[in-house]
Amino acid sequence: MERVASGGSTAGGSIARRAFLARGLAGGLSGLSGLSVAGALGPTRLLANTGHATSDVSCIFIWTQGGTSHHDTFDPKPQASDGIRGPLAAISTAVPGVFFTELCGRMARELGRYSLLRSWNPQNAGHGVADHWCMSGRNVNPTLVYPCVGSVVSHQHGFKSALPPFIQLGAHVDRTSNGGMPGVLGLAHGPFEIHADANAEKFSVRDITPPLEMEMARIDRRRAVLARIDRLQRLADRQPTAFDALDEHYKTAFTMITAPETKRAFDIGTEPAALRDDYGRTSFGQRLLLARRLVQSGVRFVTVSDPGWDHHTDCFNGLKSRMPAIDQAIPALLIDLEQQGLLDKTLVVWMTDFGRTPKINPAIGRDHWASAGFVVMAGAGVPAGLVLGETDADGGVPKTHETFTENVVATIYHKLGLPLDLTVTAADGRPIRLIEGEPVREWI
Amino acid sequence: MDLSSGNRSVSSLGAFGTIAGLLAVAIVGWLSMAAWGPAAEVVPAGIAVHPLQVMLDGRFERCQLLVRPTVPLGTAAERLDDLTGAARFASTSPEVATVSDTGVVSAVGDGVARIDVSVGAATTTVEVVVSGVVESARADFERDILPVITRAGCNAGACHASQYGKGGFVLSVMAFDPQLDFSAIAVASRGRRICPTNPDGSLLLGKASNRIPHGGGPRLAAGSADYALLASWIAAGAPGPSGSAVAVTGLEVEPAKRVAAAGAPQQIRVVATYADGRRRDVTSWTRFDAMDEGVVKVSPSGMATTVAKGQGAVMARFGGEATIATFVVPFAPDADLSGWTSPHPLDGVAGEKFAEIGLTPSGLCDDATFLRRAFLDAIGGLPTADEARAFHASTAPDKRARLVDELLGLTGDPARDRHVDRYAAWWSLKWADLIRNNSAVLGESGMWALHNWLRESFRTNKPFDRFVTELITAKGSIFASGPANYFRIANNPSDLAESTAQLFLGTRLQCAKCHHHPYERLSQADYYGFAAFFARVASKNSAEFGIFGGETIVVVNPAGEVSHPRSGAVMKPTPLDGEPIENGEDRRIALAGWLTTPDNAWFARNVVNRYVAYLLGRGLVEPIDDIRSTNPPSNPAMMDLLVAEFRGSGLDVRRLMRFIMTSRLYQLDSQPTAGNAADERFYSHYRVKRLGAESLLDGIDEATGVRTKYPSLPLGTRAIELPDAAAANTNPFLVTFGKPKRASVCECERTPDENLAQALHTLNGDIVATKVADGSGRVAKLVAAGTPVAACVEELYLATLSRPPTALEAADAAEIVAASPSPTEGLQDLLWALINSKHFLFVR
Repeated sequence: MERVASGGSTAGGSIARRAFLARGLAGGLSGLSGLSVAGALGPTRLLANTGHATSDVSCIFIWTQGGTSHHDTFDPKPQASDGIRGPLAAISTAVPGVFFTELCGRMARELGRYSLLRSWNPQNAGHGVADHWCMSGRNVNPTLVYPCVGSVVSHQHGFKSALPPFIQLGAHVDRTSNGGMPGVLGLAHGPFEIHADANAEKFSVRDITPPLEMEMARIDRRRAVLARIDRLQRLADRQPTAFDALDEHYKTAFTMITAPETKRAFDIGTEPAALRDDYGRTSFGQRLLLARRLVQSGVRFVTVSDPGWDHHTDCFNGLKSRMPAIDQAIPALLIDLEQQGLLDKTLVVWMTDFGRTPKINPAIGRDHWASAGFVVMAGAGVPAGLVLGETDADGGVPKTHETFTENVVATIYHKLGLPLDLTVTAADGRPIRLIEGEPVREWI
Repeated sequence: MDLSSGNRSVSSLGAFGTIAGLLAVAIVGWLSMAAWGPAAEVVPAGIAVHPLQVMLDGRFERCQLLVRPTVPLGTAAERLDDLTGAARFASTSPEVATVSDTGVVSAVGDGVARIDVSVGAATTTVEVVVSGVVESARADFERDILPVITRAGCNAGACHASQYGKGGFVLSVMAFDPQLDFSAIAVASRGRRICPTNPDGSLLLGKASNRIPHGGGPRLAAGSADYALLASWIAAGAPGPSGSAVAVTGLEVEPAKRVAAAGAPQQIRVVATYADGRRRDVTSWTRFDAMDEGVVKVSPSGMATTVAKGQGAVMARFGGEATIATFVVPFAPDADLSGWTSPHPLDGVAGEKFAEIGLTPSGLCDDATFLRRAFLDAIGGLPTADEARAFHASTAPDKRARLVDELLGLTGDPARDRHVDRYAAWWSLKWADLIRNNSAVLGESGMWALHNWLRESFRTNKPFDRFVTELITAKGSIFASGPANYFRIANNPSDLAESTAQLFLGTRLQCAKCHHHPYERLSQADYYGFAAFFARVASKNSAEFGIFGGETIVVVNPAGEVSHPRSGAVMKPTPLDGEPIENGEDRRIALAGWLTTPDNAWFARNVVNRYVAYLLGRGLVEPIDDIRSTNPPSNPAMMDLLVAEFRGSGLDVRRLMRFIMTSRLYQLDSQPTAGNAADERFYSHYRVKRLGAESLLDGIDEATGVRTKYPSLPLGTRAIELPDAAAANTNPFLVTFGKPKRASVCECERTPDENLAQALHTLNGDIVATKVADGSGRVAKLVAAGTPVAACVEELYLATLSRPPTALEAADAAEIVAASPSPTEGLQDLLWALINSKHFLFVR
């Protein structure tokens, strides 16, 4: 990486920063983002891009943590026995012959805006493993942590604006098996996490919004003090490389704190009240709206997490309390993206841990189910209104068009302009092929 | 390069016992490589060929010749040019043996041939005796065919040996499962991959040669010797594994080490030894990989070329064995070691490496830097302002050594050994991370029991063999016996084998669980033989506090076995690379005995390598828990010395640390020079490292005078004293700075990379901001006491950087405070900036 003048808040510093960003952009698939200064990885080998998609596509990845029941949402079996069917009524959708449950009223009406896969085979029924597998396309491997797609995007495409390329909204990603983490790519490519509730009256973002309501003038003053101290600590032009890395991060951080686009991106209060209402005044709804604002401000990959979907007991009441916020917000996002002209350049994915058991258990719940589930995908050229695959009479196993997690994630790779044969070198010198498996042809 | 620098290069050869006659050759070598590129331009007076005589026994045998200049006796062989690439070869009897342009001799028919070799006017010959061509007309699947498949890369992890293979064709990784490979090649898909009546029409050859479009591209040229070998095997009906294949037991590479400038070529020759004692040149079927392409690259046929300064290795793999050839490309022809006069033995071996690799080390660090470095490295925290003042005031000539003794509790005087508790806390934290002490797995009581055992072990400086023996042979209640929790964290033979090998041998066994280790001689049999040591350990609920209290008892059952997943054979408990050992009472006792026996090379090496990494910023082997023959130490002599020292001390970790910390090497400045800035492996300057999450938060608490309160622990508890991993998920500061969650035994769980979130957290986060502004914090107290600004500034520097400000810094700080709306605000801004400065955030 070229050295960039360091250690100050001078005009020269910010010009260097801009030049740095410009290089990062011009370089395209340079493998170097403003963050990836660490030398943990060896040279990144890029193989030919096999797709036609471009790196201009951003992604909003929705994760309902715990395992949203496919039976009680998008794959009802009205003909099945009581012990399987459950109490929720089936309703018709915008696509004749396709039925959802009554919990998905708006999703049913707006099916013409997205594609639904009903023959996903998760091959897994464990939390934690699910977060890792669904976000990286790879099963948990004891010798190696594969990076999630957001981290790969950060590593390959880098910054597009002052905001980090990969942001996670909400804390609801299970990290026990390194779900949603950068793995071999190094912490620098991890998600920037924002846990604050976007639906709160005083929504502020930790570490980005100045602390103790500090004024910009004092932040500028502090920055100047730091620059002076740093100058005096510097013994020579040459310094240890780790110091260069810190200088880079500081420049990026100050740019982020002070850039008007940052303040704008998080200022969700400037959205029209009617639009905020349309997303729903819920944590999930406002998070999704914030995700759209972030994408608009140059964030490449936003994970929107939502908790509380592990319905082992009292499944139907549980779903009745969780589902309305989702059912309202996702169609609102798709409509909004279209009206803003962002839909072609934004991929929207909804995944969850796995499916749930066909049989309703004695606690009126459904347990983990490894062999069937659903995936929703929209935008970025995904054919709208397309319903793929079906399960057997009990909703237990895919009957047609069986699709594995790796296929879903390979589709995301493809749409985001990441080569399917992308290979990086791990710290111990091993070449690591990040993803295997073919994209879902109908979504390409 | 001018001649005088050429002469300097020669002077550095002194250490290698050079005699005068060599000088001319060495100078020519430098000139040719530096100024005109590869050695092809060299016109030697005479040449020699290795091996001296070639014996080829069998139709498919080949042998690689190596050509060197002849030089007087005593020349360091590792510095000789390789002329193989520049030489011309001719066979006098092509009906007996042919020779390629690259010096590979192939058997054709029984008899004797002579190979004439020339480089310019210099010539020599080598005799080739060929036998057994008629008798061994048929290629053997394991001995001849699988090596071709492996060499061509067909069974690489990214190709047909990936989980689902490619295009339905699945091979085992590096041919570890010959039966599976045979059936994939010759039987599966109704045998469509081979065609005995028309070998050239075989799908296998069509794809490999890319005559039929192949996703992996051309791997084997039609008409090449290996192509012909596969074709003849197919034509013979593609016979399967004979079951009588003789195993490869070792590999030798020639040369094993080469020292040269960048751009130098070196052909590598590989000889395999078989279980029946036979030696065979296998260069043609060896897979070569450069381990560090920035230093040396290598062609598929084993022609290496040095690329740039440093030390790198070429790995050679054949028949389940792996070894390396080391390449050293000096940073400069000469190192300036005039100031390197330390009598410390560690500095001796470091100095030899500096001379060999041409690195001039940085100067010594100053006292203030040493003070902070030693505190952070030995006990994980900063000195107080008063401790810093006292150290700077001391005029004792040996004050650094005295400080090291005090920090490590080795003064022998209880009054001076006052840091022992912090030492124990810091190293308990380190080993609790690795052993994975975590209440989420063990419950509060189990977590505390293990924590207390760790604390006690480090407080009393338990010898390392006893520490490990107590841990891996522990039994009883997990509430009462701390180490028994080890068997709850990993609770099956596989996990226990993997953790134990990685923690205490520095060996990563995981690969061998499913297939032969691709970089190591470890097989699945080694893996499951090692796991067998843990086959009989189990746990049951305790009678008193079982089901509801969560107490379990670790017990040893009288029976229980581990079997090989492919053969189904019951595995005897077997140390890595050893013979089975038993212990009728508890197999783990046998394991502990083997682990800690003085002739177990792995055990001490693992500890030494970790402590070198903790203190010098980088292990001799990296990653530090991946010690294997194909991942050699950057300085083998230093490893040997430290291992001997560690053993000599009775496996005393504190003495090992003192040995390292009192060396000049440890006390080098972190400021790189123009000549050594590129070095990241040889310790030519101290490697700066960011303070770990816990040390950093403790340091901020100390500097601001405001302690962090941790849930259910008394106020004043330091972050390094936290017994549990819970804070790694709940404390925002520790989460951001990467406190390990204790999910993995890998050192890599604590990541050293800085990231943007961390920068934002200290620059703009509420935790630092609140502590700096705290009404009862350091700034508030200084101001309330009416302390003059200059004294305040000095106090803030001592509390953060452990030194008083320089005159310039003091003046600058006074200006900053004067220009602020108020002294309080100015001092707060100064403290905030000091905390965010590199001299605070880093150990340097």
